[in-house]
Amino acid sequence: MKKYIAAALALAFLVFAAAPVLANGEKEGTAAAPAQAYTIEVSGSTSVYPLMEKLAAAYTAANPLITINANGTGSSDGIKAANERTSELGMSSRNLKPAEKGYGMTEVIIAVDAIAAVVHPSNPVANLTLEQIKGIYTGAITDWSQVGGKAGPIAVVSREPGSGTRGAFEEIVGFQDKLVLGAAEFDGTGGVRASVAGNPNAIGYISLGSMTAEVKAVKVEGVEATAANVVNGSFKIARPFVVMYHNDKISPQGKAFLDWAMSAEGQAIVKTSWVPVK
Amino acid sequence: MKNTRLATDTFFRYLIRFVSLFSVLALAAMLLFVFVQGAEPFLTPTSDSIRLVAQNIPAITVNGTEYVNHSTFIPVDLDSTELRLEFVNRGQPLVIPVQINNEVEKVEDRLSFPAEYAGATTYPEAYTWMLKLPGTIVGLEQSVTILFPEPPYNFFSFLGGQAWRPTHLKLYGILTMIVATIISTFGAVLIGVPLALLAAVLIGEFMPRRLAAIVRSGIDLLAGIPSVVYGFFGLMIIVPLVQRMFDAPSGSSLISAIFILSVMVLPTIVAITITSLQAVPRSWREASLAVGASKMQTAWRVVFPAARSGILAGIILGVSRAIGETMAVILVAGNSPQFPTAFTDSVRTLTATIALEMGYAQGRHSQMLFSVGIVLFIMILILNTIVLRLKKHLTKGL
Repeated sequence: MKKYIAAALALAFLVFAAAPVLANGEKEGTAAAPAQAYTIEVSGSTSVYPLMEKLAAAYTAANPLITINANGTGSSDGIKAANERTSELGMSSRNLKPAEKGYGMTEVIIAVDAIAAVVHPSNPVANLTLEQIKGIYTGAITDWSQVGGKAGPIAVVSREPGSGTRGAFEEIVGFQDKLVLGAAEFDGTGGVRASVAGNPNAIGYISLGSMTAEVKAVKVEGVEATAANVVNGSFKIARPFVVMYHNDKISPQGKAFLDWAMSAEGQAIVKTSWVPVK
Repeated sequence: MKNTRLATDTFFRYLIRFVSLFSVLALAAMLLFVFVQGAEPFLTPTSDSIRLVAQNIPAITVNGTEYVNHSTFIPVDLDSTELRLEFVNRGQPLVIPVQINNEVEKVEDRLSFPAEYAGATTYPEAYTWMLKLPGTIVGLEQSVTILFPEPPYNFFSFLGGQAWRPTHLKLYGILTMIVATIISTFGAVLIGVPLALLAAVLIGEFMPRRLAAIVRSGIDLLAGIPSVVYGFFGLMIIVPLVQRMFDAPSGSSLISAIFILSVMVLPTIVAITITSLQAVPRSWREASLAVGASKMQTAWRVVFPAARSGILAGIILGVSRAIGETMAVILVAGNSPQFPTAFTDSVRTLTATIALEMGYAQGRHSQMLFSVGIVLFIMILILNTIVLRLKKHLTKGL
């Protein structure tokens, strides 16, 4: 008899140990009244993340009851999380793909971001045409002397397949999925920047919001990569920052945050490094 | 008293059983999940119907069925030979018959749009067509996207394919990555193992005990350093060095990866080899020295062979670390999915592909990454089987 009791106890012990983990999932379902503490879950693009962090910091300072939990996991991941309703808001640094449009989510463009082609600060090349960039990235141009620089082999640096920045850059420059073999591919803006900063022969591309003095942005078709040039349409390599959600998942608090991000106050924060949409 | 002990004994006996049962079930569930995800692209098409997405079109009629304010997929039967799209564009009702011909070899030509819409249609990705018409307001263009299901992917084009172009062309060939994984692991073993064995014999057999203990704790510390630290060291020091030494456009290359990996396998192999050398009985060494062998002869001819089983275990662990290493390799290898023709070429390993693209992969692309994981899993299984056989063969005389 005691044997069975002991066995039952062992099982009960395990169940209790696992209970907090299992019960965790149920808590989130409770809808919060407006005056209660609330956490907005946001996940997605690593390029949108720096902007989202700034917006969240300003918003939560004014609304102490709200916590914004942002995660930079990648554009596709953010779209998936928003679609599967594991995140209230998803962030993407590219337009939704055809197969993702069919999820039926509401999309809000909160900012526009320019993608700057960057080289090592010691590189004398100051201007490249779209055609030259395409040539470099498809392998037709392999030496800096071919585009007016010092002789030396070009080290092409790119983002990884699926990245929002890469998708937008390839689409606008016009070499979708035709990246030259032998190019270095890094995940994340930081990897590309560090690689270009450490190699006098390298060329890469990063979000304008992530520019630092470690690298030099080249003009594209004679136009400098600045927010103002994106607004007047002369700088062509730009892409939207999209936030998407399902209407049945978003809370009043999440909606209020998004409305605030689109307001003059929120767009003023966007203006610090990105291009506001209003 | 006796009864209490019986009770506690039984309690723990069952606790152990339940815990092991749960662990086995959890492991099985995980493997099942990976295998189901990884096998799907080769067994099923991406969907069982043609799917349409209409944007900025309040009401659209597809083959006679009307969809009003429909934001999700509009399914169309696969056997259809025509897509009849009816909607209102800038106040004008339009009827666009799109012909489907599944017999055509080239996927891009399977849909034919009426001639007047040729300029408005694009083929943005494989199996995807888009019809875009200007709307009443700039920026609110009307578009209809037509997605064809991708057929099950050919398993041999996966394993033997040389092109990894997952986003637009939807080509998933991983042969280049398998080759790069094998070469970088093999290179790391070729450099790392002899160095590790020499170091271990020096520390285990020739160093004074006290100094050996200090060096030993240093090596254990090295084995515990996170791989990203090695990777960062490689990115900052090795990569620029390789670039200057070989005058290559970029130092992110196969040789950098081999170098970092061979450094990373050292501590594991050294530590385990020292332990197995020290496990050889003192009397063996004494017997060897007594018959007149030198200390060097004793170390290489008596102690080393006696410890070979343990040494081999150390090498296996080292190889597994090299083949499964991800973070450090991503930072130094360059990650271009190509066949290496020189040591300064940028290469991509299997693990790097999974880690680089998981956060950004979508649909079939993400399932393909699970398939890559299965290939890696099978490669390690094969490697372990070979080494186990080798071990049996080597330790026959003991």
